[in-house]
Amino acid sequence: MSEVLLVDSVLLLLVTVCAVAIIEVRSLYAVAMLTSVYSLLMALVWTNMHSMDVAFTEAAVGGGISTILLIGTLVHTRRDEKPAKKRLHVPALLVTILTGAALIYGTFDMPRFGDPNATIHHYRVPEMMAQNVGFVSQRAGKQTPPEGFVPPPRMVPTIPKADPHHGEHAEAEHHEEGGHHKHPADDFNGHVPNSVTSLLAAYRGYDTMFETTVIFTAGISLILLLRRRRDDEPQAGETLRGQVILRVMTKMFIPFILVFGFYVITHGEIGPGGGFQGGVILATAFILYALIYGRNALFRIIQPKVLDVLAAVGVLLYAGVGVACLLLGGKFLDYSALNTASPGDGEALGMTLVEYGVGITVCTVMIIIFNQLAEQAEAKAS
Amino acid sequence: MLDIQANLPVLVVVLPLLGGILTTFTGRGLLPWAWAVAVTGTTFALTLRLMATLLESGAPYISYELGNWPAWWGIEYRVDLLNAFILLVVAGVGFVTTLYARLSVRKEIPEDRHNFFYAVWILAITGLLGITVTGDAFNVYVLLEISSLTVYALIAMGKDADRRALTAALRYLILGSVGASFILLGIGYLMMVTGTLNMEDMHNQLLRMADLNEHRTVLVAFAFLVVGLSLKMALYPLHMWLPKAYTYAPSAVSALLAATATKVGVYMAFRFLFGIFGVGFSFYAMPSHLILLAMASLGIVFSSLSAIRQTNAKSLLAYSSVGQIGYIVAGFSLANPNGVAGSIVHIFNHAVTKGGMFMALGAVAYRVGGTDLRDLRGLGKKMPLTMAALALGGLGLIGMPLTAGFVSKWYLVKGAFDAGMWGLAVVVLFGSLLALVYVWRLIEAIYFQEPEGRSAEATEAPLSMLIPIWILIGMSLYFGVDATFTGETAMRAANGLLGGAP
Repeated sequence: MSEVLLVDSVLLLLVTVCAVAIIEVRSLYAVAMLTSVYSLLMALVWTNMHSMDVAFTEAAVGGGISTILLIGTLVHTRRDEKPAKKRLHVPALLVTILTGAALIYGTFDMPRFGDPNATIHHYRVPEMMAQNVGFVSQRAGKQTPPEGFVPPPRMVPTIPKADPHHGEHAEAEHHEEGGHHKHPADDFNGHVPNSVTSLLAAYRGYDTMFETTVIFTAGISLILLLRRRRDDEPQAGETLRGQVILRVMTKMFIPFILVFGFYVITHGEIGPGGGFQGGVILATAFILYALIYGRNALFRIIQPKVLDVLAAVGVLLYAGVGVACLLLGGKFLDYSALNTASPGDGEALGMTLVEYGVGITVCTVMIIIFNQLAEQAEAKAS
Repeated sequence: MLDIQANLPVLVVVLPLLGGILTTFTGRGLLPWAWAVAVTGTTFALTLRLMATLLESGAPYISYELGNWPAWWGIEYRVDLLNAFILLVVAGVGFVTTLYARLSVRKEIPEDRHNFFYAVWILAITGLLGITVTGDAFNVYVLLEISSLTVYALIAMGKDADRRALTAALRYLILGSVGASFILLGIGYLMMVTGTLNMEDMHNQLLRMADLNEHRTVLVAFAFLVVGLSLKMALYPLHMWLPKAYTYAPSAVSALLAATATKVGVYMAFRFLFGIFGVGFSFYAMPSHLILLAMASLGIVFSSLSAIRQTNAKSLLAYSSVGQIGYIVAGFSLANPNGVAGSIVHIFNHAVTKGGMFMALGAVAYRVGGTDLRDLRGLGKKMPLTMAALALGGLGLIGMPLTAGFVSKWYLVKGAFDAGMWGLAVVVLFGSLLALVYVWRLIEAIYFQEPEGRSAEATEAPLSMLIPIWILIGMSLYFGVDATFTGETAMRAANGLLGGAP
């Protein structure tokens, strides 16, 4: 048994315990905290799988901001779950068992974790990992390969059945060929060593634009449903006047949180992270400030109206980059049109811009959601 | 400068996306609505031009590679006759319902948030268009998120008229999320075994698998996708979210949803079952078509029976919608040209018929204040034009000759005979009988009872509502008499699907 498997087993056991606890515990406050624990455990599982970007997102979004929002929601509901009248709902149980059985049945023919013969390691994905999609396809307008560049040989696309004997040495082999740091001559002129970022912001940048739109939609839907009439007086936020330690520590922390947030957004192409994670981190700084100093103090820095505008500005920046590419004669979101002299640099520029678009929308929408929840709670209290 | 012709496929989605986001800046008053009309109108014009371009080029499809990345690695938009047709339906009905929405929304949604309402409204249409235009399996899911999220919010906006809109929206949110999770799992499993997300590439990869029909991961992916899609298109017995959602949603929202949302669900089923898995796997390798046919038949019968029992006209139409989905699913489950064409043509026919009828009920809600059958009493005299539209729509639901509903059922019955399934033809006819009963309940209230209470003071609906209602109902009549365009397009699209075009 490998160490990786051992750690995974322990983590997954803890995750299961956590999930059962979430179902069983009556106190909703405890449930909110347990979901946070669940997410942090999952972040460790992702880390163990070497998917750092996913782990980072899980930690920032699942472990961080959604816990705050869940607790914010709790202010509106009771703190304890109503005791269920009927303990066992047989049809529901059957559906759950059936689904679980199907999930397990589906794994029987799955390639084993890390199996080097799995289709996913041969078909389409290698070019994306090596970031030479544009090279291999000789796409006009994209970065041209330097003299003498030979695209790596591709295996014939075949789909083998999962072989139980494979998978033991998958990791090692994968690392040898997948060294992203060795090829400055790629689709992005070597600017984007993190292949996750190149996948999300470039190859599938169109999906990411709509994921950002999902966040934006969540924000404006909440405004639509929960915002009080504009004519009403804004409610004063409660402040923790006596809590000197909290107040001082908050002020000390906030600059570091902000710098880290901007770092994560800007350097998503090098390390784990990007607009989503960075935006969430930035938002926590503002939410922390509002929690300790009151929402009125937050509004002195940033007005709710400005937040509404910024939420739209982020998505507009993303889509605007796409439209700019159209106007420059490229296809939608073809960043290479931004810099025809050096298409790879154009790609990198476009990706940085859209990451900022994502960051702005995610950050402001998180603050908007927090704000709406807090506003409702204060309205209820008064 | 911007080359509109070359970028048509992406503009169909990006224009309403930008328009929807910008709607948040339109402030109060008439501007949000006027802006929404402009955006949806331009989008409709773009889909018309896209259809014209496709027909003129004579090519089987138009492909557009986003970001200029090759389709196999990046995201591809692929427009063939089928989705060009569905795009027309969605954008067209979206435009007409937006035209209609002004007064209805002014009455039902607080004035200070019309900009946000229309923003969410346009984004919902954007999501539906985005699902329809794409040739990428994961892109479908991302746009599905947008269309679902916006629709939950739009339904919940019925809360000011009736608090039950909130529970209806929550119920849909939970069931819709379960459905979306199944769809996501299915796509993930397919990605795992095929290594790609492009629909055509995925299909070819699946065909290369020697053990496709026994591959357990593929089987589970198929099962998950069918369950998830059935939830999304409200196939009996997974329709539980639909009746209340349509009943308590704001009038304009009910009309938009009834005409487009479940139809796009059916479209997704076309792409996954015919395009990705292929006809052989989806309909012949397993008895899955029999299961779908059984569910569809049960849906036609039981939801029509439920429709008969409703006392609220919106609920009645909502249950009828579940039954109509039954016809659509039954059609494509036959997997023969007539059946599939019937299914496609019914997407259009039912969209215009039901959209028009829900808009007519919205006019009743506007003038009378409710849509209970009691509120409809005697309205034949008070609101003759609105009620005539409602009644003609009702005839379409029954499938009377000279209405569009007849054309779809004609194809459907032919398809059933082609497949040697006499039973299905009987179910279709029996369903029409049941439809006659529930439509009669509407007609009886409208024309054979005296106005009483609230309905006594009602007056004819304003022109700004009547025109959009009659555009849709007029189309359901026109395409009932001359079904050349819809029928031929549907038949060609059906042959494309059966030929394995992803």
